[in-house]
Amino acid sequence: MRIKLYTYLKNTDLHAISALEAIQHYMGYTDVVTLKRHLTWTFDLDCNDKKLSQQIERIVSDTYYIVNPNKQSYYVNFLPKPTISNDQSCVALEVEKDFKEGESEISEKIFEKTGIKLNKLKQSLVWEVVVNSKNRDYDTIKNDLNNSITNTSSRGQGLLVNSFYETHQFLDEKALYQTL
Amino acid sequence: MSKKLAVIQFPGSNCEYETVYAANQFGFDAEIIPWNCSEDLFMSFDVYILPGGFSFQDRVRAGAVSAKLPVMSYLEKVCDEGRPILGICNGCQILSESGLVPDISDSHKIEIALAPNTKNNDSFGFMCEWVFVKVDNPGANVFTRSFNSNDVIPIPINHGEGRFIFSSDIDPSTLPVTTLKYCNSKGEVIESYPTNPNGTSYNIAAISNKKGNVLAIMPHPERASFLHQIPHSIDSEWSLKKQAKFKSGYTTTSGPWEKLFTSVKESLESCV
Repeated sequence: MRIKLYTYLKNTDLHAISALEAIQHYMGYTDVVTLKRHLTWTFDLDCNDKKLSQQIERIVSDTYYIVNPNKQSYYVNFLPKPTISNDQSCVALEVEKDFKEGESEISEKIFEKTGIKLNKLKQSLVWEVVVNSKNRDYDTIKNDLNNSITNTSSRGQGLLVNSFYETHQFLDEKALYQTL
Repeated sequence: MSKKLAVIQFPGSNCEYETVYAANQFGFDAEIIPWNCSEDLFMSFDVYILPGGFSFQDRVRAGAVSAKLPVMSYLEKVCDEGRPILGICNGCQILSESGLVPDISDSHKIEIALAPNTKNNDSFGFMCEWVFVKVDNPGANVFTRSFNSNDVIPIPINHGEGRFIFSSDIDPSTLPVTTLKYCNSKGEVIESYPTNPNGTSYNIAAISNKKGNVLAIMPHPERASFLHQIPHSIDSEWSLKKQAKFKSGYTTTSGPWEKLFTSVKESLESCV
C-alpha cells in the first residue's frame, strides 16, 4: 500500500515564517495569507489497513529517522483541511529534488531496527499556501502562484522552488484533504 | 587613503570578523555593516563583501531569503555602477539567488543555482575540507587579476550547498567570465571525487559576472589569506613555506589569498 506521511513541526516552523515574511514583505505578494510546511515521506508498505497505524507508530518511535517525535508530529495520507474564509483558497504544492537524499540508506536503517521494509522511500516538501481568492478560480490561483512565489527566476520572482534542481506539482485537493 | 570596504552582516553570518580582519591587514578600511542599514550608509563604500555563514539559517534554501532583502536592491545598484562585490560561501549563494552572477543576460535573471552537495547523484551532506583551485581567465575580474592561470591554490571549503548548476541555455565552458575550478595538488582538473568534492558542474568553485566586478566563490579565501592558516598536511608549496618560515620563529605572513585583496585594491587605485 502506498503511504504518504506528512510531518510537521509541533512548535514554530521558522522556515515557513521566513518564507512568508519574504513573500509578503520583501516580494510584495500580500495575497498570500499563511504558509505551512510539511516534510513528506512517500513509501510502499506491505501491510493491511488494520496494522497500518501500529506499523507507522513503531517506525517513528523506534527509529526517529523520518519523524523526530520530540519536535515533530505527522499525518498519514491526508492533511486536515485548514479553516479558511469564503474569500480564501488553500493550495498545496509538492516540491521534489532531482537527486536522492539518502532515502535508501534510511530505509535500510529502519529495516535493521524494526524489520519493517519501506519500499520506494522518497522525500519531498509540501507547502500549504492559503491565499486571498479575489474571485479567481482554483486554476487561475495556481497559475498566479506559479508566476509569483514558486519558480524562482529573479530576486523579485519565485522563492519556494529552484527549478534548476527541483520539480514541483500542485496536489489535488480531493486527494489531499479527507474531509472534502 | 585606504579604500572603504563593507562586509555585510546578515542574520546568521559567521565569517564577518575574520573577513574584516583580512581586508584590514591588506590595506582596506574595512567595517561590518548590518543588513538593515540605511541606503546612505550602504552607498558610502568602495568594495562590498557578503561573508560566509548561514543567513536566515539557510531557510528554504541557502541564500534564498537573504536574496529578497531590501539591502540587495542597494547591492544591485552598486553592482550596476561597477563597484567590486565579493560573495564568499553563503555570500556566493546569495549572489547566485540574486542573479548578480554570471548575469550573462545583463538583466539580473537567475542563471545558476547552488544545489546541495552530491556524490554519484546521492546527497553528500556538509563538507569541511582543504581543496585546491585554479583560476581560469584571471585577468577578467577585479578580484583575480594578480593570479596566474597556472597557480594551484589551497583553500578550505565549508558548505552543504555548493554544487553549481547552470541554466540549460548557458554553456559554462564558453562563458565570458572568470571561474575558479577545483583541481588536485598537481593542478589537474579532474571531474570525479575527490578532486571535484561536491559534484559541481565543470569543477566550478567560483564564478564572476560578465562585467568582471563581481565574484561569487564557495571556498573561503579569508581563511587562507595568511601563512599560519595553511595546514601542514596538504601537498602544497604553501605548506612547505609555512614550515620553513615557522622554523625561524612564529610570524604572521601573507598566504595564498592575499592576492585576492591586493588585486581589487590595485584595480581601484589604478582607476583614481
